[in-house]
Amino acid sequence: MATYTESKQSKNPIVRFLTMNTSREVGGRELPLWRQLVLQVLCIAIAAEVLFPIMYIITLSFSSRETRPSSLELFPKELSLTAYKQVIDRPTANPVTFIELLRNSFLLSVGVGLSSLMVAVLAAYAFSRFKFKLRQVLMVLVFVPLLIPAIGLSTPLYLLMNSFRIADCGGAIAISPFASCAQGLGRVMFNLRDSLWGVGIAMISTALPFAVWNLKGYLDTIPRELEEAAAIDGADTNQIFFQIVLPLALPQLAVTFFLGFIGHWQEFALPWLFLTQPESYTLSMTLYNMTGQYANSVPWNRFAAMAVIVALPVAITYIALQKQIVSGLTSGSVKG
Amino acid sequence: MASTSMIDPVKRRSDFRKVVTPYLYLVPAFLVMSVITFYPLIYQVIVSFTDFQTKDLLRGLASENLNQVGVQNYVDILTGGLPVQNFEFFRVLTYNLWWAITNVALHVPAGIVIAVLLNTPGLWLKRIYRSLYILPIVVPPLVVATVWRNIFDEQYGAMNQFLTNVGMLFGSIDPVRIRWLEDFTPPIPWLLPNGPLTLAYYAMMIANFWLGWPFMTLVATGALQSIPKDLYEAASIDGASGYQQFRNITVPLLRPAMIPAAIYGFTLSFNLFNFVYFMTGGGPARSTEILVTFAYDLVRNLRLYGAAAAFSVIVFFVAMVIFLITNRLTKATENIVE
Amino acid sequence: MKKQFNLLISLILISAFVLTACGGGSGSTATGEVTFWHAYATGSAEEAALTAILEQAKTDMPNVTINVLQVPFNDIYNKYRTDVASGGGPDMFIAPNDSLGDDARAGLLADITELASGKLGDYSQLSIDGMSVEGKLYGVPESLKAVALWYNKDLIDTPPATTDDLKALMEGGTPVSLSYGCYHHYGFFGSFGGEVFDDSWKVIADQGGVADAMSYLNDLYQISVANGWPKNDSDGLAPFTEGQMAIITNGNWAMGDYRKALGDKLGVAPLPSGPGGAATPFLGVDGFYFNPNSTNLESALEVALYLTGKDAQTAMMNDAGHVPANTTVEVTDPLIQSLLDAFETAYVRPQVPQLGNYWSNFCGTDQVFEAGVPAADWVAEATANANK
Repeated sequence: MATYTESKQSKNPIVRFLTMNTSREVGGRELPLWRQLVLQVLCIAIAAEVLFPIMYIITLSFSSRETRPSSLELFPKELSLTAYKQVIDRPTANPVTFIELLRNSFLLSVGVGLSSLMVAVLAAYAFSRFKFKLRQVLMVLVFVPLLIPAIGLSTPLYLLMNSFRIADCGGAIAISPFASCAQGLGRVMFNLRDSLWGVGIAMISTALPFAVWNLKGYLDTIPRELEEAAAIDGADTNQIFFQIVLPLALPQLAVTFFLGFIGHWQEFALPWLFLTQPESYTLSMTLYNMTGQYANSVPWNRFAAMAVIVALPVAITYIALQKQIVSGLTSGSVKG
Repeated sequence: MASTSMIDPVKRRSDFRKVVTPYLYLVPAFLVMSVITFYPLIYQVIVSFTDFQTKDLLRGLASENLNQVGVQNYVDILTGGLPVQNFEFFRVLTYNLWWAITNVALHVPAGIVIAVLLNTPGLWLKRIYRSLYILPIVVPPLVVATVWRNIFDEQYGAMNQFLTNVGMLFGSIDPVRIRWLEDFTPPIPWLLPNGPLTLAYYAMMIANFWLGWPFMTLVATGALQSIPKDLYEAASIDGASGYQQFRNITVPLLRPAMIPAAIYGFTLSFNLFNFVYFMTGGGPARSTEILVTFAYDLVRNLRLYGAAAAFSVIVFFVAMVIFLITNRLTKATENIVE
Repeated sequence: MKKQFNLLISLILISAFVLTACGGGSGSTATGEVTFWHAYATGSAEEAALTAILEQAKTDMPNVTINVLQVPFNDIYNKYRTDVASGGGPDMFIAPNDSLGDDARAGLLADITELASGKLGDYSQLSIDGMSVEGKLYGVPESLKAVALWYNKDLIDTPPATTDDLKALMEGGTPVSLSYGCYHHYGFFGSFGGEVFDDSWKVIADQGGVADAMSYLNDLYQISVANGWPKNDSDGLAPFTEGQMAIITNGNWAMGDYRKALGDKLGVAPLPSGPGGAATPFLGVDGFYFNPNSTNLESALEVALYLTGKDAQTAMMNDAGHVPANTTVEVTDPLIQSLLDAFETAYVRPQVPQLGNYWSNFCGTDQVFEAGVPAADWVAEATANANK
């Protein structure tokens, strides 16, 4: 039989052009050219909305003046790299180099991400696979801290970390809280609170519940047949976990790590509260350092340059791994 | 017969192992959490019953002259007895809920619509658009807040300049000088009867909209791609229009993925510290204050540690109630889908 | 540049000899590590000047390592208090004497009356008073600060001398960037003869000129809003330095930035006087405060004396516009001289706890400016609240 679609085609060449099917899918729905163009216009409008503040920041970062421009500039009028140079040479007024800041941010994010991951995967597996008496109770105990604003726990954590100090009592070394120097003596050599270690430990308190929640959600979706088969073959729980489940869950572990990494990379509140040694400062703190109280003391071009630098690793990671990250987030929350 | 009275020791050992193993797996996590989560939690609860101040920071709870004030902190917070200007607990609470709900109500539909748009088969440059639309998530929240505060600036802000340009198209010459972040008079006086919404709220909604819909689009795209195409085929053969297909196929099948995403978005907006703090700092006279920004204020600036601890406990209970409600919602929708 | 640098070096060498002769010690006695915090904005003239001085300090005080931390101004007090209260903190920090009284009473500052006795002969009595609470000395003064009226000589020939002049100028359309806020308003209270405190520190603001001053300021505020002019010093920085604003009111901490942009076109005058007399802005003293937890107080004091000494202060004056507390600094800059004259009538910032009553009750000025509450009512209510 003759196909029906032929007779629908109009004789007018312009109309034929505009209703040309632009969908390259075979046997799928048609996408006439005019509709394609309309959708393209919409998409471009949305892209403009998305890009508008980003272009603003990028333009600011390429400007050579420190004050806010008095007119709207979305495209760089000049491509001056002074801001970037200044930021890399001397990121803050404090004696810390850009490389040190980068290193600190990196160490903190990776350290917190990895350690919380390793601890969390064990707990997530237990919640996901085992049936034991206190399961519900313990699960609530682990997930409940997710509900507390992180700032609420900051004061006790501050005091907790602060109580661990190593002081030089002019001869002897005193480690509080076990021992302390007599009054008036004792130069503090190491204060856990005032170090990246203290900040890292404090950040784990919020990282851990999130990792457990996310991992448990994913582990719930892994079919148990493999494990059951291994158990029949005589493997014990530890072997099953380390040799079967862990390798299977590796992609999800990677995604949880990356999500945590990105969150900690941008975190500044806790390091800000804890640290006073400039050599342990992180990149995100520097960004905050530049804002201060008054808008006039913000060196806008440097602020923008630093913002671009801080955002870049996150941007690249997200764009490269978007598929995995989204599935990671949604699978965790759906089952959670 | 004899074996019943004498249980095989090997079996008993392996039974014991079976019971103990889950707890062994949990030990590292609970060890860590008891030091850095549960201990501070309990500490905060104890502190909330005292009048902890800066002078007590050195010795902590062992500090001398630490007044026990019982539930005074809680009472002060709930009845406005704190030495803080412009703070009324229930107004801030309702604002916080309203803020989170309106944000999600705006982001989820927008996200779905844009995801459907991007999912049109045969659309050119799809991958480029997808990568572009993720960008708002990637910019550090501090930067987002500062940039948007700049955009809404009265004098140099892009928004006012844009509106001026639009006005010029219609023939008006005067520059537009709306004071987005400072104006006191609420544009809609009756909205939120116990605390009118100032212009800053609307400015923040616009800014947060920029920040919020990409995530919803991301989730919706993932879910859309798992809807089998034959459903749409069958529907179009049956003569269903695009809109009918959307309503009857897309929406119900998106629901299991969008509800958790909406709940996640709600929680995010409810606790959106960075953005609110740096964009308005709580707004003109605390009109855009949310619970977490006030908690930060209590700890960092006002240094009323006792009240801050009590406030954290109260916020915890609020969050717990919300968690229970959302949990029930998720379970309910799961039942519907099945 | 090089000549000036050599001059500076010789000056410093000479003064180093002089200092050792006076101090009776063997050269610089500062040893070990001294940590100090400051809140000068990143990239500002003050910060640049301080960095240069610290570079010089490496040569002059070779036995001591000076660690510097910059903390944003809105956070430096909180950070210092929290750190000191929990047993840590820097050896010293430099900041205005905004909360000297509260911090001293809370035991967060070291009493250096004994430690510094006999070493502060070069400093003006006014500045030493500014660093003292109830007779005890808590800091080494560095500079004096108060709000003044800055103007662009290209845009306006003579600055407004009276409040009526200022109002007429603004009504006539000359762009003026006034800084509103409870700190800045204090100067205008004096112009209208108003006093906030009486001798026993009871608040008497509702008697007399304060309400008139507020109502005058409200009129000016509405003019600012109507014309879209900046209403605080940070918003006004860019327009003033770019030549769009004729006048800006701000403290002299911004002088370095203004001078860098306007050069010779910059002029300064006292805040306008009014029907009640001359303006009485808060006179604040910036100084170095010391941490009671510090184990190296003597060296810290040495460093502080060096940083507030003649040469360091000359640099701060020339580059950053500081009005030095050190009386041995030669003032050749007419701007600085004008400032010193303007400070004659300034109101020395009190260190008593009752000052808190002012901040707690008189800073909600949006009630008058935005919400439309009549100035007299607002002042009366604030006074009643303060005296509760």
